[in-house]
Amino acid sequence: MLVAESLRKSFHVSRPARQVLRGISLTVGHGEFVAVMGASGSGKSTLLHVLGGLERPDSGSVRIQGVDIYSLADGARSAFRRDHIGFVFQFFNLLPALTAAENVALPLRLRNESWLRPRSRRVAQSVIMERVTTLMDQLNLRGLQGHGPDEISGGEQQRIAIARALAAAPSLLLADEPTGNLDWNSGQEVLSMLARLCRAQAQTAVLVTHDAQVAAYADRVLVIRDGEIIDEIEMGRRDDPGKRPDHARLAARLAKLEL
Amino acid sequence: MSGLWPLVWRAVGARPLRSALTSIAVALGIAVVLGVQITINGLDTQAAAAQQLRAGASGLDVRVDAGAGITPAQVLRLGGIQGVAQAAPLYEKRVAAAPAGSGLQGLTVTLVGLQDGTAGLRPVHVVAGRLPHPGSINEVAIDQALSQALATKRGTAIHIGDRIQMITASGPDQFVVVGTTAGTSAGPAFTRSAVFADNAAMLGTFRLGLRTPLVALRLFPSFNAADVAAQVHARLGSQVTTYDPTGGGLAPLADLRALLALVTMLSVVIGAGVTANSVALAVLERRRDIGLLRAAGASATQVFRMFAAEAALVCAFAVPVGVGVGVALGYFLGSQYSPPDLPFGGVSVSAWQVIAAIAAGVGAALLGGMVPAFAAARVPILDALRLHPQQGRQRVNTALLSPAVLCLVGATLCFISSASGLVALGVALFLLGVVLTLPVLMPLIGALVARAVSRFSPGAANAAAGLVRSRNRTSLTAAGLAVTVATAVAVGTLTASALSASDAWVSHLFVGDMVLSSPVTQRDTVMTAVRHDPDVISATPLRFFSEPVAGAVLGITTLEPTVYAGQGGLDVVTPDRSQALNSLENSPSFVVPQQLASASGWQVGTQLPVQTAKGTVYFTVTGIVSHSFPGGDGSETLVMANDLARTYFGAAASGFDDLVVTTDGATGNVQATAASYGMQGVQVDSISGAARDALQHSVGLLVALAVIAVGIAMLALVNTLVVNVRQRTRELALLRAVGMDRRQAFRLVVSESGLLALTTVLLGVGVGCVIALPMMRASSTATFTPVFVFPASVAVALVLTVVVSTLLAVLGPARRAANASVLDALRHE
Ligand SMILES: Nc1ncnc2c1ncn2[C@@H]1O[C@H](COP(=O)(O)OP(=O)(O)O)[C@@H](O)[C@H]1O
Ligand SMILES: [Mg+2]
Repeated sequence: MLVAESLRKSFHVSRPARQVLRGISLTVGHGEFVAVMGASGSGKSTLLHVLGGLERPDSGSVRIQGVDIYSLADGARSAFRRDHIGFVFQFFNLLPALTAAENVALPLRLRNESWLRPRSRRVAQSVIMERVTTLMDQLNLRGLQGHGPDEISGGEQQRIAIARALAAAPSLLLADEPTGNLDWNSGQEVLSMLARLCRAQAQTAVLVTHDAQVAAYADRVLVIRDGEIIDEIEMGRRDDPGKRPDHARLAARLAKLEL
Repeated sequence: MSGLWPLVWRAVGARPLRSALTSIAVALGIAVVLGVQITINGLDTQAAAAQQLRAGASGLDVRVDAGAGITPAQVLRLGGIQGVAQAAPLYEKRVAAAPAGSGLQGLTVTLVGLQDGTAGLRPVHVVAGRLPHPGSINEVAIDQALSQALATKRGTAIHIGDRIQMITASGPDQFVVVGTTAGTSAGPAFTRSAVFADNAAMLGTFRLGLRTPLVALRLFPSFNAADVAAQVHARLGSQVTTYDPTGGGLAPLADLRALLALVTMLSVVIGAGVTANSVALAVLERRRDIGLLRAAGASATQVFRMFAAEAALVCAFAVPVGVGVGVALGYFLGSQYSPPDLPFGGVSVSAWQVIAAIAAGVGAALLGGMVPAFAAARVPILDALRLHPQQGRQRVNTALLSPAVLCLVGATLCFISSASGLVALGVALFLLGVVLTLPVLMPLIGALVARAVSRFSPGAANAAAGLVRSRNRTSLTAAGLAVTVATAVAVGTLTASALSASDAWVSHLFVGDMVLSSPVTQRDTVMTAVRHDPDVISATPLRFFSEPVAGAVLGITTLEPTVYAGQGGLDVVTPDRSQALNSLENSPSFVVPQQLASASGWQVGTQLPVQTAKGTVYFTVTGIVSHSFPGGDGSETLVMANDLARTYFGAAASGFDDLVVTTDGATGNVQATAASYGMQGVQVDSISGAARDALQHSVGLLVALAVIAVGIAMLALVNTLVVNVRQRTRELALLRAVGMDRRQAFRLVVSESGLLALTTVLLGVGVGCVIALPMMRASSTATFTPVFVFPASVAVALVLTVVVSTLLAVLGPARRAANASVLDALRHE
């Protein structure tokens, strides 16, 4: 599903150039929920951006469903992102000018926007509406459709962002510290909902966090330090979807890594 | 646009003030183009109508000024030329006239013949009563000014029904006045005021000594004047001159049209700049949106289209407003700047002109909006997603400096020439060069201005540092305003300079403080009488007439050269005043106006053949003056000595038309004396006042447009400053977190905005003075040779308006930014 090979990336802001990714390879299977964990500044966000086609690596490749995304031209990569990748960021995920429902519908609307797309292949308005309603119901957002982002709590905003990321039924969901900006309770609520949804719909997802509590929701945790994967922890939840996140086990393992 | 349309729509709605200001800017651009078009249409139509009125039914004037003019045989031959429907001779005779019963101590008046109520095919404007009946031999109509002059001996004006006495060769010499007339605007053949009699009387009682200076030809519609003129010359030889009275009409504002085009274009360009600025601000504010959209899979094209659509939406609002305001502006300017004696014809504009105005305004604005929209599409996604784009100290973009230098050098080269097209190009290049060097200039001038005002405003130095930090953004903001202020100042300079030139001209023409002008040529005894007035210190006569000189009929003014040499009259260019004027006395010679000299290639020493009473005499050019007396048809007259004029032109040159008087300050008596001879006393000051008014009137159009352009540019400045202030909320919060109080925070942002505005407007004033110089040179014409005068009032008004309105605009946002809760502001992002 997602195969990344020996990704390298350095930023030339200072001298010597700062190597942020030092040859990262990873594979994420279909329907797998993977967390990438690491301290602040370890290169997690950069990795996520590279995986999502937002930032070209210096070397290495990213294949999603067999497509080498950096071999695509910019326009084609935009279209690929629109159809196959959903993003959730830490803050300000929503377009302030649009209502909650419109934010969710955005990726589908963007599809319709292409001039080249024949009318017959457009997504019908009714289909969009249905999809938006379903997603918002699943994320417990009923009744917020017409509200603007500034009338909605942080937790709700992040759930809307997740709904939007999932709206186009992407192959891959990428989330960068989606709960980093939330209080503990809303964070837990958002995460459990995200995890449940991913499992129920076999949604492939990569989540980045510096918080072990968050990472514990994943099937598998990759630990990253200074741009390298230093450990991989199987949480054993794939076989047992109902299992509660095993915070203690992860914490013990991380302690050994002095994280 | 289905997907992003709500974004576009709401973005425009979320910033109503900015959208409205931008829309207004675009609308004003459209309005200026349309308004100028309508004004010019209106004035052109009016000028054509006036021209038509002056020409009457005449399609070609044939003139012979020497001797008795055109002979009856020649008139017959003219009537036989192919294409001529009618050849109407104009009969003219100078006779002594007086109210009946007052003896023969009258005035010499010009009697003009009427044929079917027209003189030389021109209608005669009747004020009261009627014209003499066709065939009547004892009726006359009389010019109203002349009726005043003739009345004097009896103390009352000549009324309709009164009788006047005119010397005739035979028959009755008493005539009944049946009407009064005004404004015999019938072209070069007419005297200033005349007595009209029917041709029956002219060819009968006044037959002896009758002249036919002009034959007006009515042409069949399919024949053109030039072809007929060629026929006329073929048949009558080169003795006659021909003149097409309908052609060669002066285009109103002709001298100003290049400048008008420049200012109009500027408004459109500035409108585009405002749109560009507004879209750029939208891009700046919504960077994060761009990032999110792109991350959600929007293509660069979609982002571009979104911002371009915003510009288009704002333009769409501007169209109806622009057209409406344009029509109103056109009507206002047209009626404001049309000559007072003709009513403005109203708004006439073609659909194409409206479409062209919309296309120019909207097209430029859309192009302007495309630039930042394109940049928005090109922003790297991650940069857009980053919350606080790095705002380091901005550097001067050195890539801009070499084109800037090229522009300035190119401009200098253009300025060396005085061809108006090249100078206009030079002005455009110079302004562009200045705009490109603004990132260097703004901080420099800002620092200077800050130092100057630091005594009154202690925050100025900090504010100047702010200008340096964001020099590129500052320059973008300032560019439009600097350019428009420069234009307004340049136009103001032109106006002020032209006004002072016209003052100088008038004061050189009349060596005294009062001019007594007569509707009819007065005899020298009247001058003696005026000189005896106790309040008159001196009086010198002027006489105006026209004679054929070097193949053309030219206006001639006679004067007393010694008086003009002694009292500093006339602005002699070469050789020097006393030499030029004194040699006028000694031999047949002229002093000629510079415009005529350069047009005809005459120099000091050139010999000009002149038809005189003594045959052809060669006159020498003894001097060239920058300006001489106005000839009535837009040209200026030759100047010669009055004694010599009498010698060579006899009765035609005797007497005087105007008397230039130096009084002891009390003018009441002089006025009365003048009135008793039918003359009108006018202060020289009020003559220059009238000249000023006329000038201000036409140049005022330019000033009005330049002011509109400044207004448009102000919209961009206000837009940017409001956003700047709003965006500094967080920075202010940080400063307040470390101890700055609200008052200081408020003052910081306000003084930065104020300093930016002040620096910009001062820069504009400076640049305006620089570009005014070549513009002045290019626009100097015969009647318009300005010397640099700094337009202080315009400059002060601009500085005050710009600075005050800027401060007013940022006051609200600044207070809000300074009063925001520190924690809120910090948490916000
Ligand atoms: N565009 C960039 N330019 C320069 N340095 C960057 C850029 N993006 C990230 N970095 C640097 O790379 C390092 C890793 O950043 P990031 O991937 O955001 O870490 P994390 O998300 O794990 O906190 C940081 O030290 C950051 O300063
Ligand atoms: Mg990060």
